[in-house]
Amino acid sequence: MRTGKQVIIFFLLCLSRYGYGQTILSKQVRLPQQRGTVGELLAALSSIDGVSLSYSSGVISMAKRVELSGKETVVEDYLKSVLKNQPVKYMEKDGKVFIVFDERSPYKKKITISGYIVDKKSGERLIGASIYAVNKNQGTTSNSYGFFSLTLDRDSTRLVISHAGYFMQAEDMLLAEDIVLELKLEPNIIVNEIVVVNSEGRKNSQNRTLPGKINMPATMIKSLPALLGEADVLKSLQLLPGIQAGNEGTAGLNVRGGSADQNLILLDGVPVYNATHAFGLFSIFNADAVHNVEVMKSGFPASYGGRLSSVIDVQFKEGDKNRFHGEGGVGLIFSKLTLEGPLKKGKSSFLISARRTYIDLILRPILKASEGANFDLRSVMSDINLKTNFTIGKKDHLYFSFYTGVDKYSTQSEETSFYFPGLADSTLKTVTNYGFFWGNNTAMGRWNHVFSKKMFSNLTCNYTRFLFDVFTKSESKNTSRNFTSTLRQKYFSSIRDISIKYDIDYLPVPTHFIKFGSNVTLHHYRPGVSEYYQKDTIERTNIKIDNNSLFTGEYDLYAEDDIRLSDRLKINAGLRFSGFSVANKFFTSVQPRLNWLYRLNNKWSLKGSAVKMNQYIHLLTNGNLGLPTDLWLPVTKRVPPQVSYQVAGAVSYSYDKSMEASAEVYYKKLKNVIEYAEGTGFTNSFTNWEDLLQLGKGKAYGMEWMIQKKKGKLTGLLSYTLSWSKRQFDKINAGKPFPYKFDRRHEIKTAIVWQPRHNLEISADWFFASGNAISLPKGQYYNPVTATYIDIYEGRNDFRMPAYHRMDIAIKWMKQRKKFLRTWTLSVFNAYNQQNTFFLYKSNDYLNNRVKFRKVTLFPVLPSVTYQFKF
Amino acid sequence: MKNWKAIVQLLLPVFFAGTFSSCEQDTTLKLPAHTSRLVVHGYVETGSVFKIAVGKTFAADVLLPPVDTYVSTAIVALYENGLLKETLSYDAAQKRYVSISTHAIAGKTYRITVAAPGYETAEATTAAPFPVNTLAVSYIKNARTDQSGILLNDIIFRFYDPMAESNYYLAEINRAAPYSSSFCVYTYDPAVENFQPALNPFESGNCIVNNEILFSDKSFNGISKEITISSSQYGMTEITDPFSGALYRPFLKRYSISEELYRYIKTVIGINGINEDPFSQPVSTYTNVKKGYGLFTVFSTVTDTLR
Repeated sequence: MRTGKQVIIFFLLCLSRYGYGQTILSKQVRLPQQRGTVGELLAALSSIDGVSLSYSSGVISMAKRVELSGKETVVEDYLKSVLKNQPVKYMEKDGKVFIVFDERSPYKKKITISGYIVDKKSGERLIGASIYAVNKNQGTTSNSYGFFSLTLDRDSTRLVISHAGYFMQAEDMLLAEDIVLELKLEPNIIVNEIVVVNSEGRKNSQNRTLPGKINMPATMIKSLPALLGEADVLKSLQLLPGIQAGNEGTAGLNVRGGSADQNLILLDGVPVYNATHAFGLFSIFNADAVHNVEVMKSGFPASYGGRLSSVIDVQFKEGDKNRFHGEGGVGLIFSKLTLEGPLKKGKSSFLISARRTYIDLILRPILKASEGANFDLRSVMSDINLKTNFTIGKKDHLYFSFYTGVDKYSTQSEETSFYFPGLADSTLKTVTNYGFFWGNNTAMGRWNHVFSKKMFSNLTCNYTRFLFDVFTKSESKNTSRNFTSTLRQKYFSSIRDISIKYDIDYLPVPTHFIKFGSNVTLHHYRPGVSEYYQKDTIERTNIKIDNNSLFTGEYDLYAEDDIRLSDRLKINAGLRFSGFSVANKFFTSVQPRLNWLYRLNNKWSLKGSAVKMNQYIHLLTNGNLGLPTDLWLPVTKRVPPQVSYQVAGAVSYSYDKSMEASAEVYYKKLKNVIEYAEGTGFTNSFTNWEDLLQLGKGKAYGMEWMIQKKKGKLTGLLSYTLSWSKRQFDKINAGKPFPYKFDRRHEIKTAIVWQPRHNLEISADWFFASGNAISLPKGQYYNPVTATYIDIYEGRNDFRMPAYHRMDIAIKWMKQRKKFLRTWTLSVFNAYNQQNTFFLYKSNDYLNNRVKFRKVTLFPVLPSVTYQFKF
Repeated sequence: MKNWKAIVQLLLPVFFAGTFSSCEQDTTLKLPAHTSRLVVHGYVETGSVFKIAVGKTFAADVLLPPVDTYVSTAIVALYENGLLKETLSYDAAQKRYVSISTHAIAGKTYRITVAAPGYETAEATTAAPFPVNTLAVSYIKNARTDQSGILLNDIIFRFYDPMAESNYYLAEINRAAPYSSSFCVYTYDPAVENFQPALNPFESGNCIVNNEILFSDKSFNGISKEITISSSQYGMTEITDPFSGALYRPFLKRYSISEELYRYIKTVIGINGINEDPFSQPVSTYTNVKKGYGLFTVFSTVTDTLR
């Protein structure tokens, strides 16, 4: 473009050789006004007879105010004053004065384009959208709140804005002065992509700086077949290489040989401690309310910390700022409804989403019939999400988000007995309540503020609480003898966090994206609190034991820079400093992070990372089932923080943005991981949990391959993982290393979505995994003193369960009704009824005088039907 | 669309049949071939002669073991403080190797070696602990209730733990009866090992078997220690046999045990605690027998009548 202008100017200059003797620049003139904007003064000058100017707002800051000295006499004097400090030069040719951009001008200025990228329909801000200046070969991506900033030379350029699931948009821009704008992208609702896209939108995998970072949009989660038809965020992640399901059917995640507690699961930026319902069968995230899920397995930037193995950031929708709409569904387990719309059109919005099971409504009459009319089941499993956001002026934005989810299972029974047998008035009526519940509550307030075109800040206040409670209450009454007996027992554990976090994004030039910030979290741990109360004629017992209750503080500082060293090489370097105060002890950790990307060409790229992570929390778990009874406990002098060191390297290939393939290797070392000492498996209020533990180390390494087809009627992915995960403790397995329970040598996963017609979608997934590691006896002997047979175990986890494999299928029929879109989904979990092993137990075969093993299977083939609507 | 309907109509009954099919079935796991080793068991009270049972291991998948699990062809040598004291002779009636002249003495270290044709020679070493006398025993009736409202008595005993060494104890509370029986006792004392996953010390799930009250001096080394055990009232008063006239009283028996026995009992109780949990890691039973299995230990006892 610039070259074209220069040719024209050169041509005009040549013509000027044949001009008049008196020049325009030396022409005596007088302007009526002494001040005004550059645009006004140039227009006034042009209006003078015999003065012809040619200029462009693309190179001159027209709005700039100028005051003349009053000493100007000729046109050139005026131009010098009006165009002072502007990166231009002027030349007279062919009766005209051309004002053109001066490449050598000391006043040549950088222009910053900043603003937000939003969904055109809903007004929702888009995370990770790409903005690329074509002729400058420079670009950036929007941050977690849709904000972007791109600083370029003053010039004209073509900006290309793109994001997965949206039509690409191009805008020609004249870069004369800083620009603040809102770029609106039109959603592409026709193409159905089952794509694991990265956070950098249109850019393919070659341009990702962070290896091991992948995005899973809600559309993909909802396209996949699901257990009992309930689309599940965490289970969908189990399709990705390196992310394993724990036990069959559960939403537990084991990432690259790590344990379930080593995953930082964020709900709109707020950590949740137990992200499952129904003892791990379903995750707490309602897929209808989820906007996007980001997963990091390695290459953690310095802005994340606190867990060793992964970050799973679940972002809920913001709510539509422009129109009211909703969606919902009725399935076998849950019914749900999500509503969203503007509070003030274009300025603020809300989203409310609720989900509830009705399994209790089905079970209640059945149990009443079997247990008697005096038996009542009161159970519920529900989630409620509420989110609002408000735009306040051009620079500020407020978000508020709340979540509450609960699992409650309780029974009430009544029975009548005779306290003093034989006496007519000794009837004792006893009402017993028994039950347990657990759940998370989270609240978040966030203030986005744009300090300048290059600096964006985010202040977040979080509250999160996880509570598990078991209770029994029994009350017996004899009214005629005025006798009452009360028994109350309660056991609960909870963890409560309040945190404040301040993050700043600074984009000084397109080659740097600097982030820095701090975080302070106060934790209140109450593991295993027991209360016991009994009273009849007198108070017999009144005990409350809260021995392990503890307040702790966690403090973090971080800084990172995404640096573009050349067109081919990008690095992300950062440092995180964290501290943890607990019971007069202060732990500190410095965690360097480095990620790099080298683009070989348009198709191939190499990536790598080296990170250190720290974790100040331990999970005491028995069986790794992810049960709510598991206890979250802080580090102590005796049980220090967990530490991991991970290096990873990857090569990726992209073809025409429709096919992507990658291979990634990793090696991870773990320090201070815990395990119950042999023969222990539960802690209560009376025991010191530190006495029950063994402290050890671990390592995990492996290779992951993945290939994706991202466009067309048939989309899908195929992945293979070859991995090892080991643990070593001084007093377990005679100090020798042993395979971690979820050490699975081979994993193959595939998912496809086929959309032959716009109203029909067929999807399937298939999993194969080597069996879990288990310990089995290698012999037995008779103890004549105790007259018992004793099994001999020589090594821990030295056997393998049978391999696991399963196929799920779903078929969706969509139809646009007059006012809403309805979808019927038929899904079949475990389509070929594979009897996968949930656990093994020994059984006696008297006929053959043998002990044999029997496997228990959790899920046979499970068909389900779901009805969904969207309006 | 008609085709889809037909497919659905065909497949649905199949799916439902599968749904309600069995969720449990036999599976074949390949266990490695088993090499048999010697199993040595000897639990000797100070002042008593040594009686050692020698057996053998067998494959894990055998339901009923071979008819005779004992090994009668072994040579069992007994060493006291490093010196050979005696080669034990086999008593076929007891199926034990028995010392003729050697009695266990507190403070001494004993080692046995067991050699038998076809097996690697096994050996084990243990130290005989001194008894620790009781300073006081008290007995409080109706001190508290269990979760069902049944009144419990408290048995409180005090002793002085010897300093400068790790001591291990096992206590048992016995009812007034001509025979020993097994019942539940309770305690909230954290020094006492408790393997049950119950939350209230006085609920039935928190039962400690009356002869498995196990504790070490880890939390009270070298000081006076008082332990309270709660037990139901049944059998806790003295009785006289109406036929023989014999008087029976409840009593507390306290064992000073070796670390080997302490660890052994812990693992055995631990195994019982997790037997029903298929997700727990199995517990390897402790053994102090090298190149074999079992336990060789010496202990001392102190008995106090409960009045």
